[in-house]
Amino acid sequence: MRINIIIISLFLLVSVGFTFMLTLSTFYQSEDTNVSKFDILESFLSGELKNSEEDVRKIIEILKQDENIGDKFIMASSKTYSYYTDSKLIYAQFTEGPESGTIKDFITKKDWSYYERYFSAINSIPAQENLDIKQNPDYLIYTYTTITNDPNTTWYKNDNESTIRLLSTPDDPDIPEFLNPIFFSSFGTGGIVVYEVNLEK
Amino acid sequence: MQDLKISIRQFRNENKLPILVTTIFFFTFFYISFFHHLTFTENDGIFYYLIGEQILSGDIENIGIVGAPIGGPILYAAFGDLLDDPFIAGKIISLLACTGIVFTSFFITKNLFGSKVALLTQIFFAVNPKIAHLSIMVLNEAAPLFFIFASLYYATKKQKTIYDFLLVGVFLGIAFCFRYQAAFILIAFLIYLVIFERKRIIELRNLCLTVISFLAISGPLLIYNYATFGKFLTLYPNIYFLDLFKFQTEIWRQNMENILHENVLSAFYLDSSLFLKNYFYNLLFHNPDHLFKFSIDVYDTLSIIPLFPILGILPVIGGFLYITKINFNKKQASILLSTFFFTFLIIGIFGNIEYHFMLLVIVPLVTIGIININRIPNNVKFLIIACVVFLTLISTLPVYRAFHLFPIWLIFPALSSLFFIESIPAIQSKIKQLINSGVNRNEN
Repeated sequence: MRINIIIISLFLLVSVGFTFMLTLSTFYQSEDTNVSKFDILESFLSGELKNSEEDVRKIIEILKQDENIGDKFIMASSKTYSYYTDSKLIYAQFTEGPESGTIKDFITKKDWSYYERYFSAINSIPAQENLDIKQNPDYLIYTYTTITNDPNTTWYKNDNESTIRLLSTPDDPDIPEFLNPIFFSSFGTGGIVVYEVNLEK
Repeated sequence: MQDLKISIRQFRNENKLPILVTTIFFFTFFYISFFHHLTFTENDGIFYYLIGEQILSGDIENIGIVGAPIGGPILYAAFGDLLDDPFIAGKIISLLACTGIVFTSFFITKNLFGSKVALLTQIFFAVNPKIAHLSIMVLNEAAPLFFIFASLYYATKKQKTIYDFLLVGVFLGIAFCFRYQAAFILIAFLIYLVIFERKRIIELRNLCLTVISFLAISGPLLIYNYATFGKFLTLYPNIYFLDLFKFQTEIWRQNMENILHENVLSAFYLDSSLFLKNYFYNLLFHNPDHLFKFSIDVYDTLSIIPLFPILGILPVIGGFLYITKINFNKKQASILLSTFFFTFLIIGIFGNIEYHFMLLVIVPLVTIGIININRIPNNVKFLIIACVVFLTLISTLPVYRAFHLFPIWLIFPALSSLFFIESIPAIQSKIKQLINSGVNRNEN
């Protein structure tokens, strides 16, 4: 057989396999996934895959149970929840504010830089022109990952030491009283926590 | 009508395989998109849809669209409202656009090389993980990319008519209404016309045709931008610099926050050496990194060998050397070696080998390319110019997704395919000849 046919076939086979794996890991995850995305293959073969959108749909259902959700504010990095529940979004990347700030400081955008407030405002729903407007969230949805950023990609802020990381452990006694966890789901490389927020407490 | 039917039948018979590849691609990703992707989780898709809704309702005061024109948002909102489901609308746009990209990739490559090379290039597109990603996700990328590819088809035609020049401008104009980067391809095409098709543009007619058709399509957008936002482009590059530049200092960040809405020059003058440091890092490391991946994240790459992405550079170089028809004689070898060592010296004095090592590959290849420029087909020259112009201009920013480089990607799988289809058999037969001549010599 001609050598170029063998090489081309190999290249295409690898590409097809890789594309399949990447597509699979976009929509599905394994409960035990560690760092490697290739762990998902094992779960695929054993039939133990979980749809990545499942948690999102569950959270949307929980939020919809709130009759006044349309008037409420959700603080999250994803626009999906507000889109499906017709609620308002306070956009946050959860890297804003000084590292030493408290969770309450973060929620109230205390000491956020001008850029952080601007970026939050243009990505919020509805988008805000007034950066100083006071909006306190009724729900906080924190998505976290244990995968470290690629340091070659961009200048980035190492948020591992930030107090915000505490939000990933809803049963931690240091979680402030005004946060009431109502949903928690974790998987190998991260997780998602939903808190009801009552700053009056 | 009868003629049209005959033409369609003839086209179908002549292009069975590319149509088959496109059909398989379409149905595979239709299934994934509509049976496995059931929740609208793309922030970009929701963002552009909501912006479009705001624009259509006339509420433009709070629009914060920092990196793209309003074409995408309006399409998503209008089509979303028409179907009463923006998510489905977005998925249809992505799938159709990517199917169009896979389809046109064959015909663009056929303009450059033979049908076999074109078919393999098309298959590289169809199995590329990033094309797969774009076809199933609702992002503002696939539609402009399709229009750029449509323009590339006309731009790479060997014999161009007036209509071809007009259509290049029209398609780039449409793409520009979605993504401003389309202008880089226009600039590259104009440079190509001026340098390599001079005979035909003595009176600048063809160049003007492309520019006029581009402006005719993008003009309304530019006028709208100026009337609404007081500027022709709704682009705030300083926001991206602040967010994405690798090399930053706290003082620089603080100062940048005061000039967020100003132009590129303000960022340059704020700290020109830091700006240039970032620019050359983007140009020579970060952005090529998304083509062949030198760093740790192996997933975000356009390499045709995504599992070992860096190896993808070898067939590209092989294909390039093949089209230059290089003869490895003493002269060529000494040119390669001397440019390599000269570049090494320059990097040693002015640069950083860790980030600028790509120059060691680029400079000798460019030199070989320039020496043998007459052997390279004209339309291939255009794609190479497009690659250089696009990377030079886009590198003011570090692209944060590999698929942002798709407008210039076609030349890489095309050269790789050329290497596999034509170069390897040529090398094989040369080796056989050498072995046979060696055996004959021994027998004698």
